[in-house]
Amino acid sequence: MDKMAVNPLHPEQLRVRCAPESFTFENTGDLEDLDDFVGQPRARAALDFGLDMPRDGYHLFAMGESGSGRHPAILRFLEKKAARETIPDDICYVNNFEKQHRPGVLSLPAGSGKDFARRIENLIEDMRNALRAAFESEDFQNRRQSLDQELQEKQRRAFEQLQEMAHRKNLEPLRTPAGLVIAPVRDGEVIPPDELEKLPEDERAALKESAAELQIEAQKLFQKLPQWQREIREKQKDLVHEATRYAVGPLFDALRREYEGNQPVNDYLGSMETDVIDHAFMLFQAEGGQGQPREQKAPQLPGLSDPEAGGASPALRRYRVNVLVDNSDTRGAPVVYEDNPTLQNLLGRVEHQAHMGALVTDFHMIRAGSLHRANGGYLVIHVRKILQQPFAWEGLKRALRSGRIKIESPGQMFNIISTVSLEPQPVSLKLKVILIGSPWLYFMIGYHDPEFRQLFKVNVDFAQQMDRSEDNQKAYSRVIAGLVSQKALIPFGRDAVARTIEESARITGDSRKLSLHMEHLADLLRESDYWARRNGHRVVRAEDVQKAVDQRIFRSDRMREMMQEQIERNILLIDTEGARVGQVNGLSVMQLGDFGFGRPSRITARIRLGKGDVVDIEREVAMGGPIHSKGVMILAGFLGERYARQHPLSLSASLVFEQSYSGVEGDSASSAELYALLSAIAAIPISQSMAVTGSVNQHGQVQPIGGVNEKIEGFFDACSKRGLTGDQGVLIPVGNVQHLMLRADVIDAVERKAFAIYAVATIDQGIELLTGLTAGEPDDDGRYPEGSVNAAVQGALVQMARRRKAYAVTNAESENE
Amino acid sequence: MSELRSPIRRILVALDDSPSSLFAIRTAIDLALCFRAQIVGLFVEDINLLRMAHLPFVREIGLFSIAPRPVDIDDLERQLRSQAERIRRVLAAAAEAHGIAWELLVKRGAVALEVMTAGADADLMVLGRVGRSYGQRPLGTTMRSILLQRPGLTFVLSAEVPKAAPVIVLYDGSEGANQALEIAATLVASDDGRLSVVLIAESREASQTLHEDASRRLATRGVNADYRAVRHPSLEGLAWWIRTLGSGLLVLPCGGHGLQGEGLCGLVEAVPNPILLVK
Repeated sequence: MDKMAVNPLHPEQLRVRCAPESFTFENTGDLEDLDDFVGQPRARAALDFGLDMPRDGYHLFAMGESGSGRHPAILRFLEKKAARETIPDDICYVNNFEKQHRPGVLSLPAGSGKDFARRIENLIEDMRNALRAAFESEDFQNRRQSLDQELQEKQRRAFEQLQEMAHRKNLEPLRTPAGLVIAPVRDGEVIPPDELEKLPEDERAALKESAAELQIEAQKLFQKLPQWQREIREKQKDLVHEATRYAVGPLFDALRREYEGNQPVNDYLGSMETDVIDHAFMLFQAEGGQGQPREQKAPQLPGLSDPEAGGASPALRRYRVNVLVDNSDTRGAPVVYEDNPTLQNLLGRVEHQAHMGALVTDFHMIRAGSLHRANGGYLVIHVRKILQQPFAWEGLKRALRSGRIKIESPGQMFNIISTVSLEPQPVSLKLKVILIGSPWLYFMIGYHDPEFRQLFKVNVDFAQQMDRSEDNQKAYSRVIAGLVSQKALIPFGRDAVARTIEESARITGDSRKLSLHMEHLADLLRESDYWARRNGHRVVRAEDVQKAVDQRIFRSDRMREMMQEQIERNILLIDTEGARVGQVNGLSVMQLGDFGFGRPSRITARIRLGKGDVVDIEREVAMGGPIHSKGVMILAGFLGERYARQHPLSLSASLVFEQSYSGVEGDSASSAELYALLSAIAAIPISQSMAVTGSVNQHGQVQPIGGVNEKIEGFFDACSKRGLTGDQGVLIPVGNVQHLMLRADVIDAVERKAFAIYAVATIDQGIELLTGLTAGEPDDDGRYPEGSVNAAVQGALVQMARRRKAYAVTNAESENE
Repeated sequence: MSELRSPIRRILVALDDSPSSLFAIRTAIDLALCFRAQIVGLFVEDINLLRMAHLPFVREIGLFSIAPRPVDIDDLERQLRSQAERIRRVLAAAAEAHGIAWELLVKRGAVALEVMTAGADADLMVLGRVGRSYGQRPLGTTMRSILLQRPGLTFVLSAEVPKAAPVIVLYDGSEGANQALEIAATLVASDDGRLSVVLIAESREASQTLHEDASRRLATRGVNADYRAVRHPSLEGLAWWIRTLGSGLLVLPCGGHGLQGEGLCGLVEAVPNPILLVK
């Protein structure tokens, strides 16, 4: 127990100032930007490690609170890093001539995709010209006519034989609209029926028999015709193939030489050449669709587009290249931030077009996703956004797990739809994914999804604050300079920088820390810039920063003002003078969004004879949280240990936050409750000009709490409204002194000795300040000196124990009688 | 075109529902456009077929079914009418698409005779080299009759007239050759095509004279030409020369150099080009 008297804190202990003189610059214009990772050595090391680690699964999760600056810091870091790295290949989709529903993928050096596509289009044009020349050439025409004539001659010879046989027997084969007849002729004309009747019987019979024989010959001939036609068709096809191969071969050879080192491209050119040879006439369909019989058209799968759809030339659609990812304008490795990470935006999609009442598609309608665009580089996604999109999280994991991007609709992925569509060849995937999210999401996903930690092994943990050392203050000034530059603000003078640093410490609620919440900092800078401009300042001054702080508070403090008014008008009953038994001013913090303020609360204690329990009325009505209840129960432990070792603790006490109409949580009022309780037991009044905050343990030590600045300022405001008496002040845990970053008006009042702040380490120190009496030290027998607070408490408890014992005996005798 | 010495006002196209008839219609349309002429289609119902249908033992062998079947005269007539109707539709569609006056004559009789008779009123006759008959030689019987007997202009073809190939004309300075040259020039001018003139002469000097004469005539029409000179050509040699000049239309003045009778038939057989006979 600290026996030293507690003195009020000195004004310089109430706020750790940042001296503008400690800076050597005049304003932020003199400073260079600093690395985004100031105060984030852990995050920086994790980022370096995760991005450098080449093994699978080492993707990153940038963990930090919203507004901590993770996103811009990571993007800038990645952009700097990526600029020094290799530009990834372009990705192109091309027709798969054997399986059209499975388009193939080609990888070409960065910027070559468009060039390859252009060369293919030129090739198509060149092929058209070459084939036109080849098909119109005398050689080709002659050979084709020769084949036609070959068939005709074959037929002619066969029919001539038939004709000769017929002529020898005075017969003639004649063509009818539907076939052939063998008729008797004379002088080149069919013998009329009446003249035939006039012929002798045997001659007629001979003609009939001969005609029957010739019919059999004709039948044999007719049977051979389809075979001859097939043979000629095959020869014609071979002729077209030969002419096409001759015409386009050199064009393909030249192109193959251009891509000599790229085997997949060479393979594609090989299959394209084969396909062109088989479908040469398709190259001319754009010119009116003539020149090709229907059966020579390329077969189409159901669901895939008709090449004639959409007005594009069939050859162009069949052979043109779909440059999915064009890195011709990319500098270094790509850094992609996907703001809307739907499944299709990530993995890409196959679009469809309504055509004649059906949805059709082809490989030209394959669209890239952000995984394609980021392939070979970095993809940044906010984890909350991806979790909000159906199937997107599963799609991303599947791609990372398999190391390839397979474009699938949700219907295909989950076998909901089984209609034929495209199944593009998957693209090999190599990139780093950086998820950005809160710690809560990191741990939740890790708990619920076992794959998460297999894929995102690197946790980039962004701290919320950094130590406020001299060096760090200088570094922080460069962070400020960087933000000023990025946001195009007017320069901040060093006094403004110093004031900003102080406010940053205030945001953390710790005079020895600086906030790394970049959004808050940027907002403060922007708003300071605004007020500086309004005030006609060319450099932001400390007063502009203060104005920004004050205005921000003013915009948010309507509730605080209302509360203070209610205290002033005695609607909220808070005494700031005099002394009361069993009553103490406690302090709490009300948080309204980003703005928190201190609220004084009257805490009262009442005792009666009982069996040693301390009743938390807040808890009884379910308005107290578990931590608050725990604090109250600690009080019973403290009382029993200190004052009731020799006898039972024979009281019942009730504690309440007066005029509290919402829940009470936290143990920061437990020391105040203990003071009220001790006052009630000992019947010693407590000064109402003081307010108390701090939690207490079973040994009577006062422990630090949060929101100490707001709490002090809350009671200060209440006292100020009524007029400071010079006796008023606040008791805070000694452990909270390091957190003090109080307002200037509070410090000013302390300097004037109109207000005081006491840092106490124990309950005894506090009770002495509150009662003006000594707390008292126990002797060897555990007795406290007369006149001390502890003696009064102990005495009262002994009396209560006796009364309870006496009551118990009398009660037992009455029952026996 | 109206400058032609022998204006072509009526073009007869002999049609028989064969593939070459379609080419004949297209060619007739082009010529009608060129010469602002009317087209008269002619379809002959072969009397031999109708007679044959009455014979008791004649059987028809179908092209697809092969099995012999009796010939029904009513059925045959319906089929002939159907053929005529198809031809009418094709001719109407082609002619009306170009705003050309047309009519279709349907005659019954011997084909060669009917064609010759109908062709007597025509300024130009267009017909396929090969008809519907199976096993015909390069020249059908009807074609041979026309070649041997018909005066005036006759266009013989077996396939589509290639537009890109140059028009070829034989020129020996005769009246018929002058007319052929005029017609060839008209066709070339209307189609923005090329012209090859084959000069047939007995000597180098005569060739030179013919060259100058032809050049002068073509110059008045604003047509340029390539010239080849052939001396003392046999029919086979002439056919070879023509084949070397490509597959374009041959404008052939008939009469001299054996280009009459069987000689003319031989040349027409030997040359696959479409031929415009000028008699």
